[in-house]
Amino acid sequence: MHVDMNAFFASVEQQSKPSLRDKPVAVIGAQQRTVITTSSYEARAYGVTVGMTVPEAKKLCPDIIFVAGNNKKYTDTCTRLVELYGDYTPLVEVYSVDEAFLDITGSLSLFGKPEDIAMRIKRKILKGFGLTCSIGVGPNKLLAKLAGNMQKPDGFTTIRPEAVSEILEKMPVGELCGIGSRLEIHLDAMGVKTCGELGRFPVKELVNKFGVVGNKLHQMGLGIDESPVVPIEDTPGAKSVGHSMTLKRNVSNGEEMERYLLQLSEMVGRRLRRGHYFGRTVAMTLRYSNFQTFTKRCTVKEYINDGFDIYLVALDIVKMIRLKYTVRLLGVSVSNLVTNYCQMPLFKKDRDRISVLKAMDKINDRYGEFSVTQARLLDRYSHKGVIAPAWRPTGIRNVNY
Amino acid sequence: MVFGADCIGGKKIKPVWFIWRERQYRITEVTYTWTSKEGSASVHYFSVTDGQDLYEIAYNTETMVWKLMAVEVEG
Repeated sequence: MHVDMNAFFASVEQQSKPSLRDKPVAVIGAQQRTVITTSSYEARAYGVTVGMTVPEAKKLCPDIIFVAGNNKKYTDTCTRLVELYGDYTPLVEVYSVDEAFLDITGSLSLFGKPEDIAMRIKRKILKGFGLTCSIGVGPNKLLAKLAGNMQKPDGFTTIRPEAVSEILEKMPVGELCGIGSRLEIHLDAMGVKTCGELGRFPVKELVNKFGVVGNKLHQMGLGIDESPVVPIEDTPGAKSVGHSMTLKRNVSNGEEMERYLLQLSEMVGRRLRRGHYFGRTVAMTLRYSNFQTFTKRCTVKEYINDGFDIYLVALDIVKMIRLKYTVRLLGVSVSNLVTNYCQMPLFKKDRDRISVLKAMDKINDRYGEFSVTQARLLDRYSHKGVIAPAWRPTGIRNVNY
Repeated sequence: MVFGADCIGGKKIKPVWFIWRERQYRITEVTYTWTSKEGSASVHYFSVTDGQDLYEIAYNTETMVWKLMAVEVEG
């Protein structure tokens, strides 16, 4: 089963503020330089979509109401929704902040048919949150998501195993989760427009063109997906931990950039330590004002998770770059991760540093992030950011926005 | 500021009224709730209306302090 919350952020805002209901609403970032993160169905009717700038949306829909997003509200709602799904099955995979897969195979004897479970979930969400969702049921995740997308908003669709080939025959390939616009163009050039055509297309040719993905595409065309529903507790460990931020204004000044890097590094360090991770490779992502973006990496000898150590490596990377334009976005991430790494420091100064870090973490756990921090960060940028696609309600992927 | 709240089933907090600038506001509808962790404290946020305007109020479970966070006046 696939559950997709309809126009999630916008619906939450419409529920919170009754004056917004039935009106074209767009949720935007809290910062000045922002784009639309979600629009209500009323706004979508005017053509307002995700990623548009405020003037673009205003042009299409002059009466549109812009609401600054509240990430805490959305992530908490997602967490409570996942708890609600847990009443019906322990196998819940959080696919994104507004989408989840539920394996209800083992729940049918307890709760009845999939339709009954879907209707119970829809009723509970409406009663508890005032929100609607679209639910799709199918023999696997691929088909459940496809079914969920077939009726929006507030829909319910089942794809039964015996109807799979008939439904897929004329279904455009772009409707399948995992086939984006670029891949769709490539397939179109090969004469493949529908899932039926994709399923019949010689698998050898698909492999020649797309490599290992070719096999997967062939299976998708036939409606086959053997990937299991992976609950949060079984999600593989993180491969990297990172943060990025679009800056308040474009910067070219080295000192200002260094402060942003320190802030990002401290944020990354805190998350690494919370998950008992250490890493060896620091990557710094930089986006110029013309949106040209690149990432540079540096691997150090020691595993680190102290924000200041991460910052020093990021600084080394920056020193190697000759800036061509002003900088719009900065990101810091750490990869090459290990857990529970322990290296006893030889020198007192290093042992003291670890003690200080532990004490700071305790204080920040108790009183909130940056309650105690480097003096340079007292005047830091209060950046709310956007909810990362990798965000999850618990574990290392959980970020308190 | 003074707040009045019900405790439903010994678990759920439901704000009922608050006094702000010497005037009592009766909450007619809690339109949305969410919780946020601020350090080790849980802060429960309530989007509420008195039938006319919209208010955001918050209750910190650690300090047991209610706060009026935002007011959105209709019109």
